[in-house]
Amino acid sequence: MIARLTTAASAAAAAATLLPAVAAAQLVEPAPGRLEIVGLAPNACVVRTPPAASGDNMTFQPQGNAAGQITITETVDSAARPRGGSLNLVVPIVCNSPHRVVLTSRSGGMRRAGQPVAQPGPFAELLPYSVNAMWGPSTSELLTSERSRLVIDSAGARAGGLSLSFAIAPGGQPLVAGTYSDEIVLELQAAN
Amino acid sequence: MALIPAGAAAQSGDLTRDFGVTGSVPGACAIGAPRLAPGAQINFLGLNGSTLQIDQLVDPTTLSTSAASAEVQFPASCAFPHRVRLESQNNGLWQTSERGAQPPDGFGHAVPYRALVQWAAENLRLDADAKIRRIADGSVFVEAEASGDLLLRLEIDPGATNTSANAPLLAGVYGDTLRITLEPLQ
Repeated sequence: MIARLTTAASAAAAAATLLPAVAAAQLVEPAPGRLEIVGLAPNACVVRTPPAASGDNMTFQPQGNAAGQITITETVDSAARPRGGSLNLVVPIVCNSPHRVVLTSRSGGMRRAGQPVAQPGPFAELLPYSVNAMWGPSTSELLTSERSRLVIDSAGARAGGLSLSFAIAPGGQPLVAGTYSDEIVLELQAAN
Repeated sequence: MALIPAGAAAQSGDLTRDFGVTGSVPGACAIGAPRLAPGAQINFLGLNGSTLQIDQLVDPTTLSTSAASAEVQFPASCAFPHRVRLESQNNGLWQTSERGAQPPDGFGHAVPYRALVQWAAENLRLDADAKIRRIADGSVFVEAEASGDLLLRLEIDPGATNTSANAPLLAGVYGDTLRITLEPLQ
């Protein structure tokens, strides 16, 4: 049972205006004995690959490019009921300006691959989980059974580790046999 | 001063005038406008008027300072022994718009650099260390008259910030103003 974690960081499209004081088309007379030096650090976030981690019945393997794979070692018990598990990931992030952290579950939970079975009976084909995100002083929780997106807004620049705590509750509905997966997309948006 | 031609047919003898001459040598030292020196600049877009623009101030993968260097020439001349003075307005590249009092932990918010002047066989180095935002200056004595091109070289080291090396820089426009003056010693 796998979940893929992918990340994306966007820089604000602020690089177009470099020097507010100097218009490209105008000829500016240079002043004698004087030199102005100017440079722009555009609004941006960078994300690094989280290190490998293991928790209770769950592991994370980095796959480069700030992405990786979360694997549930034993998804169900002998009665096809979820064993549950937990995992904590730390994602290294630097944002040099106000920004937003967005975490999205593509499938709304661990979803069974392939055609839905005709008569599932008491068996489910979707395994819900939760993600608790902590970034600086802010926390937010995502329960896939309720919604598929969480957002954390940061009023200023921040560098550090975004903590993601994944949890699957043990017990509950038994699951139809098959391969279950989800894609969790982490996106950093620097302010414009 | 007009000279009356000697030996005009209608006149007898030379006519001369005495003229008192008063005056001074105006501005014994002068420095002109900057232009790019020949040779490669690294990570600079060029000179626009008096503004030297850095191409990529930060490395997009680390958000810390990228290396940059450039050389600029100023035509200059001085008819007397003189002092060359280099002044930095900010002591480093500082954000032109101040954003809030306390920068967050782990970020740089100013960029140190070196400015090196070569003029008339003398060298002057100013380390704009960006520790405190203030005017920083240095000077060197030139013991003879001189004229030609004054060379100013700027160097920014990779990862250079006013906090720790390789710290990411807060987003914003960073700048400084350098002024060069030649002062005659009389």
